[in-house]
Amino acid sequence: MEDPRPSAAVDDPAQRRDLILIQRAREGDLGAFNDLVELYQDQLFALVARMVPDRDQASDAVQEAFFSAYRNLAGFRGGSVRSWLNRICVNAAMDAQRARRRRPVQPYPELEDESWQPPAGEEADPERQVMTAERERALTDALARITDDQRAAIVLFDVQGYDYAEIADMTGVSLGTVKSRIHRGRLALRVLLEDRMELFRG
Amino acid sequence: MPSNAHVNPDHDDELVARLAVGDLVAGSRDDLRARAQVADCPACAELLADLRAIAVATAELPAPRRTRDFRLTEADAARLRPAGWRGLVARFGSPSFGFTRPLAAGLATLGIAGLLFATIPLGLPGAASLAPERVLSTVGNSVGSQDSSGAYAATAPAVPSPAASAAAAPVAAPQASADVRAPTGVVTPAPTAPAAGESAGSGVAVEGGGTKATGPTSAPAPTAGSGTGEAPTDTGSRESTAAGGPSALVVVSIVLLVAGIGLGALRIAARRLG
Repeated sequence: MEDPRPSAAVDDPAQRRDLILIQRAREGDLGAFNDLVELYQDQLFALVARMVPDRDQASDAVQEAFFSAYRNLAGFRGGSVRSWLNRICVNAAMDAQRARRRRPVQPYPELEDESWQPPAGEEADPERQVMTAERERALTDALARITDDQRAAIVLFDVQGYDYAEIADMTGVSLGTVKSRIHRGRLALRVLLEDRMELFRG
Repeated sequence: MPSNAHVNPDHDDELVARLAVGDLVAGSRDDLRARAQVADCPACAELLADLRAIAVATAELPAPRRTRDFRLTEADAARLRPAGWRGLVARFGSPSFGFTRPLAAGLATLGIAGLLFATIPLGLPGAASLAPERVLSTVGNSVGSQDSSGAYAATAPAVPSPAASAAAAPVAAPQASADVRAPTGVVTPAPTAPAAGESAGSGVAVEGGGTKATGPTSAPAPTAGSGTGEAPTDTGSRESTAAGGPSALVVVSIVLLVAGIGLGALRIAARRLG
């Protein structure tokens, strides 16, 4: 069994810091756990919000994931804290997607949410700015329309930058299935965006 | 969902998608086929360019901004922290209690092995064939006709001692006859001779409802000591106590098995609670 305590073998300072925080959280230090939450909540919310199109459900899923992480502190087996939290969040997102299928809500509420769009740089060309916003809107819309599994694989691969093996580990499927989901998901996106590809060909 | 339309229906879109993501091994058959497809077919070339553009745009998507702070409050922590017996059980799921898993497996294995060791010999043909002889030699003629019920046979094997059988029969028979009329649960000690070893004091004991003809016999089988004080024939008693080896082994094995299973169940419960 891997020792979750920080050791000399952990060279990555971020990883060493995470392990120290985990160890303190396991000893009952809530502040240490909340430090971890602060470090990762933006990234984890971005991940889950891409997988679960409804913003409120995405927020609930992330909150539930942190609850689950706190409950399972004793079960942390060492390794990367980030990967551990990501795995919990992916599972929470998948649970949220299953719940969404059982109780459908408005499909793409984020499209009406202006906060969804990033602030553009001051030097940005207004025409380019509009074009970028339109492309992101179209892509977000298309992403919300492919299957949950394909969306999860594409988000983890293209947006989060995980490799096939990590995605397979997080989603509990084989490497071949991950690859197939990514390929077919991209082909599906291309079909959905066929009429708007000029936005992407730039 | 519509498919990516192609001029040439023989062209494989997924192969182009694999090429776009960089999954094809350079120089492999699929790689050469995909490259040829892209080179010869404008639609495939466009598909490749589009897929790459979509991948780049996906990677550049801005991170959605959270609208909530996900830090836990003290109330959250208190609610999530297992308390009371749950807290105790949850400790078994922690890495520091990782040794409990092999321990549970070891205990259960020892228990099963012990039970097998203790019970398999009784199932041998030789052991089974002894039972009727014991019943005949101890219970006597009054219940002889019910011997085939198997109740006695299951109780104990007989001591294959002709002398003991001969000596015991006259004494045991009347006693056994009297016991047939005994009320349920009455244990009637027989005037037995001091027995060798631990069967001393054992007698004709009948427990169970009704008569031996119909009621189950759960008590040690009737025994009569011979006048010479030798050849005790309470083999039921012998099995459970005199032959203390197998009996103790069975008990210890069961204890080990239960402990192993219990420890394993505790660990599973701890992981779920944790």
